[in-house]
Amino acid sequence: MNAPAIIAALLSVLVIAAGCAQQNPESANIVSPEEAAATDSQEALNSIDQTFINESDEVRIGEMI
Amino acid sequence: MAIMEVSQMKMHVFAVVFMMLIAVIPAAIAHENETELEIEVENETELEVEDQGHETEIENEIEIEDETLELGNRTIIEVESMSHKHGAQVRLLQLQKAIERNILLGNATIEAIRQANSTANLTELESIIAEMEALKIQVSQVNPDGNSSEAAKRFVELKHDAIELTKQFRTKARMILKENADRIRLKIKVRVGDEIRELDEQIRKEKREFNAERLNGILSKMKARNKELEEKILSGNATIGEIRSTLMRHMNELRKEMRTEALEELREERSKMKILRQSIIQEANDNFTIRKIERMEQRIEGVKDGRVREKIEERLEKLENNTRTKIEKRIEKSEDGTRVRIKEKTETRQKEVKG
Repeated sequence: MNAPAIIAALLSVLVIAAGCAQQNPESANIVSPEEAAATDSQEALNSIDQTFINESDEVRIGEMI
Repeated sequence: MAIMEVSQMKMHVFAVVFMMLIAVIPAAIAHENETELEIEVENETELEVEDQGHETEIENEIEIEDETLELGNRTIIEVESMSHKHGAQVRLLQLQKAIERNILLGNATIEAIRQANSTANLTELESIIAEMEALKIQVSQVNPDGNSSEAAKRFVELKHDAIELTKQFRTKARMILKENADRIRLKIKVRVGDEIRELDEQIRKEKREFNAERLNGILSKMKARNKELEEKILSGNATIGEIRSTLMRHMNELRKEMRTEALEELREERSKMKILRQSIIQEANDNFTIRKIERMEQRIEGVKDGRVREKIEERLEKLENNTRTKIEKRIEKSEDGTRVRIKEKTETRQKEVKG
């Protein structure tokens, strides 16, 4: 096979792949159950973090000088 | 020859000693000056002015933009914990402590200015400290057990006043001290008083109660309990990291449906917090300036020293005039209640002052 033929074949593969991706755009957004659990846990962590008051926490009103 | 060498050596030794003395004398003089500025320095815990750089951030915490209140991230987090009794108590005590700390450092600053410049007029600074004393009393009078949104609203307002008074003091003090301000700032140290120590103790206790209560609240959503961790929190032996990882372990142990349910409840709680926050901002915004004037009037009542009182009254008058000008500019088209009330208040007060 000569070079132009190889390039043409590669381009065809790329075009087909792009077409498939466009036909099924949601495929990229599919979240596995593990990923969903991780997101849930992250959300829970954020919620927990803001719930407690740290020992070193202070109300700050600025410095006098 | 030997005599010459001995004499040369003596000369060298003398030169070295002389140079050392020259080097040490300025340091000794400088040290003397430094000790003059240190106020009540003792070996126990001291308060000192912290590095600057956070001032704008702190001043933006409760911003009044065109008479509309905006809360910064820190204040939002502080307010959210006030929906629980212990959380409200923590925040009010912390504010009281912050004001007391600044009163102590403010008094030390006044003393340092007096030492540096005996003719400086300090009445304005003294009046700000007197107003902060009265503000501290106002904070101590807020009831943390009652309506949580009322306590949170009062906290936001009084924190705003504390930030503003601190800023006014700093601006005035720096104006008097000019280029010496940074040098004096580094030198000011104050011994922690009994009041701060007591407040610290109460804050610590309330924080632990709050955290234990919150732990039980979250665990109840997972239908779980952890007595061991609760006791560790109450005795001050648990870190937030430990609480966090234990809760996550409990969460991961749940079956999928139960976890979804627990997360849903946590989400609901966060939404309620957001609603509470919105209602506090809304309430604090309603007639913000009128209530600010009323708060100042209350503070004036507590000040006995006539000279200091006069200075606070001057600031109040300035606030009233600024507010009136702003409102008149903003609502020239319509004659609303706010304008009339401020006008009436100012006139009544002016009559009182004259009388």
